[in-house]
Amino acid sequence: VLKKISQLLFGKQAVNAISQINSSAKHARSNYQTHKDYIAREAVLGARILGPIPSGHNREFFCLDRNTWIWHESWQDEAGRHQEFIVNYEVDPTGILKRINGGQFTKLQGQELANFDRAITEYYHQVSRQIYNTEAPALI
Amino acid sequence: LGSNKVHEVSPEGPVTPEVLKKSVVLTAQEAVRLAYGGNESVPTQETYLEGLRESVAGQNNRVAEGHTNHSEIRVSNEAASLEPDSVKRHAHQIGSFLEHLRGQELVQDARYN
Repeated sequence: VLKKISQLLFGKQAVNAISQINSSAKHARSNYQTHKDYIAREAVLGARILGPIPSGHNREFFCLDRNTWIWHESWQDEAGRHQEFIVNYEVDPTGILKRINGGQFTKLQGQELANFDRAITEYYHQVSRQIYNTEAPALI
Repeated sequence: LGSNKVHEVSPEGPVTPEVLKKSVVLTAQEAVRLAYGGNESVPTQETYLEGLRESVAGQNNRVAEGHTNHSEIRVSNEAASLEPDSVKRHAHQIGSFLEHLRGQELVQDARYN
């Protein structure tokens, strides 16, 4: 009924164009939500890859996009204050760059670089298998 | 966890001018302070969270560990001998593959909804 009234008021073409735009926007929103849902599921798995989560801590570790990895951890300290850190790992042409809480970039090296590699490789295999039901190809 | 010594938080430094712009040496103490929200009361070695070591099934103690105090991923047992380029390549390959998988799921969801 509303559509018919709108068509009478604004014309059929205008109403159809608007509904197409709405439909595209809904589709984009739905895609965005689905994408977020998958990342959220990956983040739960990823958190466990970094070892047991201390009591009272919330942790996420996930691949945001092909060049960005995030480790987020939050908890309440003894005074009940919210504490958190966010570590960004960025795949840069110069190497893997790490940034804590939006601070300066440092370049991963040595043992820490190897640990990062181990963590993302583990993530890769577990997430592929457990979330997407597929075997991850061997890394080159 | 092996040694509790903080390491790798202060890499030797940037290699290119681009990194040079973004990078300064971050001391271990600063990293810990940042991880704890800028508080002065940085936890001591004794307050390290316990029980961070846990093997993921089938991984035979090759598990990366999130070491909360240092915001540093740690791994038990093995020593590092990886080329930075191979890590970069792995990261890129993994990220690309995951994006591909997510994209496939989006297509499937769109098909069924």
